[in-house]
Amino acid sequence: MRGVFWIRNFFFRVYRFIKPFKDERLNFFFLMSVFLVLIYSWRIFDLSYFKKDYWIKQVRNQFAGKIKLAPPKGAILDRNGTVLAASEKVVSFYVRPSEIKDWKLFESIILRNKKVLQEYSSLKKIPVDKLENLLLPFSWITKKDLEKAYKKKYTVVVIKKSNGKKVERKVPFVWLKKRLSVGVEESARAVRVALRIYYALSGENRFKKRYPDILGYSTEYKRVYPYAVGSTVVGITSPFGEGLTGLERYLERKKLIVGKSVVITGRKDARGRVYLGTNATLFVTKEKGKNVELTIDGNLQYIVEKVISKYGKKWHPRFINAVLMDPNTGEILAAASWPFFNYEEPEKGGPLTPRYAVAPYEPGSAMKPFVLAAALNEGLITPNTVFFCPAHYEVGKKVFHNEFHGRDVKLRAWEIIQYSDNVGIIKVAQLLGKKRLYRYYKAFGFGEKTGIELPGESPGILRNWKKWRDVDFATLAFGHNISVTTLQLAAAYSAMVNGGIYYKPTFLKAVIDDKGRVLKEFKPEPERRVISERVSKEMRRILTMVVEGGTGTATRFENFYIGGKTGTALRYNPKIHGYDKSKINATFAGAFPMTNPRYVLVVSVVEPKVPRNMLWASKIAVPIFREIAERVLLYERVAPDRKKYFIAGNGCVESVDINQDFTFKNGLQQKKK
Amino acid sequence: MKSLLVKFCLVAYLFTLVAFVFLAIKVIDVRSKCTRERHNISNLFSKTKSLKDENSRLLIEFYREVRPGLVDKNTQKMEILHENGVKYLK
Repeated sequence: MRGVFWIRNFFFRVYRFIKPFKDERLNFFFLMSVFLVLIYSWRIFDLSYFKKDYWIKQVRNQFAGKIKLAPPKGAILDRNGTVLAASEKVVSFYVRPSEIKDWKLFESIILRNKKVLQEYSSLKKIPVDKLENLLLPFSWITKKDLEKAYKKKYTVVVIKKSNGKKVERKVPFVWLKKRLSVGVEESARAVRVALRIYYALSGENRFKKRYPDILGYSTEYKRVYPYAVGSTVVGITSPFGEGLTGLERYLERKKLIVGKSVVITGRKDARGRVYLGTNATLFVTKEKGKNVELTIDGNLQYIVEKVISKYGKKWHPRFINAVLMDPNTGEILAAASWPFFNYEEPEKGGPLTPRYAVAPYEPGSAMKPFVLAAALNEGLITPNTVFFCPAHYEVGKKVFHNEFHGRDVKLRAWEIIQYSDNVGIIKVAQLLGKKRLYRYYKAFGFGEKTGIELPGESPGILRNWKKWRDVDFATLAFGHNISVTTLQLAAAYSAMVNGGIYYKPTFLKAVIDDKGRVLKEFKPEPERRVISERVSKEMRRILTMVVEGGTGTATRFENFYIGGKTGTALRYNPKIHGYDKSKINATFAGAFPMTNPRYVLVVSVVEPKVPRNMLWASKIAVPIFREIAERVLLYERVAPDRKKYFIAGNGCVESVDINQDFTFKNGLQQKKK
Repeated sequence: MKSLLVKFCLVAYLFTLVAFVFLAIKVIDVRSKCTRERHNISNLFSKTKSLKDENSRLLIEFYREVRPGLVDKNTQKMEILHENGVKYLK
């Protein structure tokens, strides 16, 4: 009791000391106010200091909004900017069948039943054709799709709980039609209109529904190939957008065409709308998947694919490869391998293997020009050096025959290539020696990968010169005992005719952004000088003689000098442990226009199913080469190098022969077959 | 002197009040403009994105229509040129 008295007295003393007014009511009011102010101040202090982290977090969650962007993959373009592969935004429609009470009505709306639309039209005074137009995106949906969705009713989803257990749940969600190429805005409008019609005619209350979106749409990206060419170069992606083959796979691995998911933060209002700042636009343009420009010309690619398809269906070979290159830069203008996957008929399937880079084969006589070029470059011979080529020539235990049916002949060095004489080229190789021949073969790119931007490239087979027996050395001179890919041959012939520089073959030209600005350029890569400029010029003349009077006459043009070399090699059959005379690899490797080559084209046909008398490259590979070369020259409007056209005084178009000294005229042999 | 001081105080109070109200209105106005501009930016952003998608879609549609297979099919009746049938005039 004394304690209570003491406390009471103490408070009274304090009160009498501090009371500012004489009036006790005023004093009471003042003290109460001070007391309340103290409580509020304490509360503010408590909230803003002790619990500040909690409340700041609450505010951030409430007002911070973010948008996550998953940009699509960049496009793959050809050298002219034509779209070869692109990501198309597609729309997928979904439905919740268990939430729809009047399924027949819903079905009629989706199928745009005129009776139902007229009913709604009279109700809302909207023209029927306007409603039909608005519901046009649903024209892709069939009655069968609707029946299938209605039958399915639910989608079973597996959910992983926080305790690690997996639970199956039935979700009232079924895909109606997936991946349609329709506009997003049109789809959104169609869905809104369809729902409005349904709710108006069925009498259901959408606000009382658990899932009012009984019909909806979702967008995703689908990889498409609108130009429908170059499947063995461009490749395809999986339905999930991952590159599976070709450049789609390569560019994805190198992260050249994939965009990064970006989260852009901003502020959010009470309705949940996000307000972004100016920094948002910078992020978006920087992180989108970049476009890649190839060296391929889409139209030349089509020409090559069409021609090899035509001959593929005619001769039923195992495969046909064709590679068209620019010899002065190493850029590949077209590359195809029949049979190939057709983008226009994907359901038929077809191989996507770029056999021109992954399938090596024995090229045969197409290798002879490299032996001659090496000997010329070493200064051992000149194009006019005379060789005695007997009908039979023994090397080790093997006897080789010349091309002149039992006659001993003398040939100039260039004639060895023109008549594709085995004995002559063996003699040239023997002058060169094993080590030097091996060195030149390696310099021309054989026995190693070219580094082309395709997965699975084969280096071919070229054994070390120390392992060559004399017979192997002899057969290597005319393209046996060595395996090469069509691409390696094209790159090697490019080096032979372009002045002697070996360029790395490539498909990539540049990486560009969606505004067309070049972000990165892939410049031609001259790797090494193989032969001199002078020897390269001599070889161009020599190769021309093959077409002028040798094994490639079927591709002789009136207005252009064409040069090349045929190669017919028997295929090794492991079943008979020997070479099968009914199976060949037919190759023609050439360049045009030969006075200043702009194109190198190599065509190889493996195991054509034709009569025995047609089993020669001159009858199999040369016609394909001719057709492609002709189309390319006309498409590119190349000026002729054999004739010059002018308008004469009488107004007629006349021509005069030019570059007549380009061909050799001092041959020792007239071919007698 | 005292009355002058009182009058000056009154004027000062009034001026402060008016200045405060004016500045408050200005700040509120600027903040609303900022919010509206941000809203415009995000609208522009989504519109740009939808236009880009539309452009992409139309480009794909264009190349689908002019693909060489289709052009070839539609020009089958046209005569195929050969290199020896063309007059090469510059």
